[in-house]
Amino acid sequence: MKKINTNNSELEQLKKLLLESELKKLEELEKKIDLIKFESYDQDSILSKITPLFDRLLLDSLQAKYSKTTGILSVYVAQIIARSSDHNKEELSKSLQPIISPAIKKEIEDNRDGMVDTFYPIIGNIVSKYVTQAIKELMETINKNIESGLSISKYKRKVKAKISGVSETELLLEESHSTTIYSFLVIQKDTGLLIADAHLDNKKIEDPHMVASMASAMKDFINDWVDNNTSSQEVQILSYGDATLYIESAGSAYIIAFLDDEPDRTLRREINKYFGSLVDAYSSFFSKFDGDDSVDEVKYISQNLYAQLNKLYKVDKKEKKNSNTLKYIFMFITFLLLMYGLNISYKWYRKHQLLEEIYTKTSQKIIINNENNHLTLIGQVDSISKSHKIENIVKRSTKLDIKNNLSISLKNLDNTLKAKDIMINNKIDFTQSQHLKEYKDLKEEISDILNRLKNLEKSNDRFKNIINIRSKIYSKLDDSLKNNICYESKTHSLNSKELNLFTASSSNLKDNKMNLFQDCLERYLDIIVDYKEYVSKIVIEGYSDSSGKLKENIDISSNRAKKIKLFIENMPIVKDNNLNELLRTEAYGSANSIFIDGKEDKNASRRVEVKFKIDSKKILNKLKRIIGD
Amino acid sequence: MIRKKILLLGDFSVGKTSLIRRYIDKTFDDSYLTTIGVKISEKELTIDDVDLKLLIWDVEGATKTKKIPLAYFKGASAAIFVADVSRKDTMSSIANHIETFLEVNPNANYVIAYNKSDLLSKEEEASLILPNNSFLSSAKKDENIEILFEILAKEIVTQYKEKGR
Repeated sequence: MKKINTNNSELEQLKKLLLESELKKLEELEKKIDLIKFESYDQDSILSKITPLFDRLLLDSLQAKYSKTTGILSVYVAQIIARSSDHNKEELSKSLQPIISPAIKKEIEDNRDGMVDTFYPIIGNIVSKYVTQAIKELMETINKNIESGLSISKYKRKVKAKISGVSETELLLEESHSTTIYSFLVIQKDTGLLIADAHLDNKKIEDPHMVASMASAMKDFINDWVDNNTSSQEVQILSYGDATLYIESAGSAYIIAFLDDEPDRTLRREINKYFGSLVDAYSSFFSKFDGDDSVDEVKYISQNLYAQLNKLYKVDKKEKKNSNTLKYIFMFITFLLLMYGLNISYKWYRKHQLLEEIYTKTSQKIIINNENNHLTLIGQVDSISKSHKIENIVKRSTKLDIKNNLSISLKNLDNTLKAKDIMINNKIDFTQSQHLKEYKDLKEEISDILNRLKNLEKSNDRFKNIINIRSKIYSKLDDSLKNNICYESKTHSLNSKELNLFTASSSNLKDNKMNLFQDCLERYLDIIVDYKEYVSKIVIEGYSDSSGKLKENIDISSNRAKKIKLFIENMPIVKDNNLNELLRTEAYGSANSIFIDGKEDKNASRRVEVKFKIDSKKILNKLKRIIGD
Repeated sequence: MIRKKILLLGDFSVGKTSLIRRYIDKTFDDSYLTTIGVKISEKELTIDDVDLKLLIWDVEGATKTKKIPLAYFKGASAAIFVADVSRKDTMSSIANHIETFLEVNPNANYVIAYNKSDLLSKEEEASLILPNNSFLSSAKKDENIEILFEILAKEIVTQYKEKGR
């Protein structure tokens, strides 16, 4: 083939024209090859490509139903964990801890019973071990307590424990509880038929025949199970809730005691002894019993059962009562101890509070001792005043005697005394001025009282004067007119009967007689005028003799009185002192005529009498005014 | 009053408990049956002026894994064996139950109840040949239930009277 010789540029141009698209692809391919070359040497790049593929492959394998991957992994994972456990236990624990705890929690939530079954053999044993240990320790403690206790029953219990071989602790626990038997059933073993029964009044079993059959069935069932499980012991106690069945198998009968708790050793022995006596007496009847309860033996056995049940119940009640008595004594002692404790606590609290109060109020710390019903204050304080203050604080809070043994340092005492000295001087000055002021006040008060006293005396005199006014007037009249024929000292009045002033049947005055009566009137009025303010009236009473008619006599007596009144009105003493307003006349006719030795002295009957009346109202008003003053 | 123990025996699910429920006065809760394999029920009757109390032990059927204590059989005066007419195996095992029972109580009476008769067609019922002392019963329809117990009760009373009491 002939070779065409062309220049390079042309060739290149031609290439470009003809192979443009191919060249582009070639360039891209070259770039990709370079990239692949690079990536094939770069591990990170390879990992980023492969990892997702690997993950997907692994996931598919694990999810596939019959995949071998799970089997392979489980072997190796187990091996890895085992190796880690050998070489780096702590690290493995740390890694698994956050996973295992929630996993167990979740499993317990989802499958509680399964987890219990799984853990029971381990936890059950552990619990059993520790509970056993705890009970052992408890028993040891109780034994120690018993050893250290002192009582007659302790020694009785000791002897009993030695004889019976039972530990004192068990005996003590038995003593602490009393069980009540509330039913007895005697059941024929083969048939399960009830032969006889007895119950406490308040504990009757609703259908004892069915209960007997059921109890018999249970006993058979359990005995059968026990036999198959290579145990030679027969079941004696069945417990359900609060009820316990103590079953004694005796020949052809079961004798069952229904109790409220498991019987203790003593009670069991007692029940067994009783059951033994029943079997001795009725064993042949038990085997022959054919379900007929009308036979006499059934009645006898029932009576026997009731008697025994009541006997045991009474004993039990008595024991319970005794135990209750002990319980109450114990409670009482506990109560006393509690009260004693409370009392001590209260005293301590009060003492503490008191010390705190003392410190707050005086800044002094002291000690208070309670000795033989008195409190002793001990400690050093800054001053006597503080000592007194402390003593006062303590006094306020107790009725006990207080012995103040608080001491003061000499330096403090000196300062205190100086301060006291200044205080006393100040006090004296103050007291002096105070006393002077008080003295002045007192003086003023006394003078005031004296003045009031004087006034009172004056009032008293006035009072006396007024009260005695009547007797004064009388006394003065008596003095002035003593032995005067006109004056009647009994009535303190003037009477003209001795003077024969008037002529018969008229009011005419006899001239020569009036002078004497005038003198009497002047003396009389001269005294009365001084007491004018207390006199209500001066009465001139006119009289006649008994001759003549009544009316005429009254007229004559009236005229006689008026005549004398006119005379008096004209007397200077009356005019000067306005006595005329007090003058009154009264006519009495022949009333009160004067008789001498049964014969009327007509001259004497023809008369006037002059009297004065004291105004009581005026006296009273005057007294009131004085009292008011 | 005389009291007697009567057993109710048979395979599982033959209807013993349903049968007794139709008849009795008082019973313990069914849970006892599943717990210890026996349920006690009670029925009082008066036959020929004699008061009789039947204590009926409904004994659970034994299985390979669960055995029933033979002690339950002891002292029974009579028994009712129950089979399910719709299940031949239960009918054929009746003989075994009777044998076991008589071993323990050789002188006891018994009757057989072919129960669930309501499941049989008339033809099946007609073709069924029953041995002596056997009854077709239905707890569902309350058929021939009382007669099972009454036959046994009468027998018990007769024996009681024969003893001269």
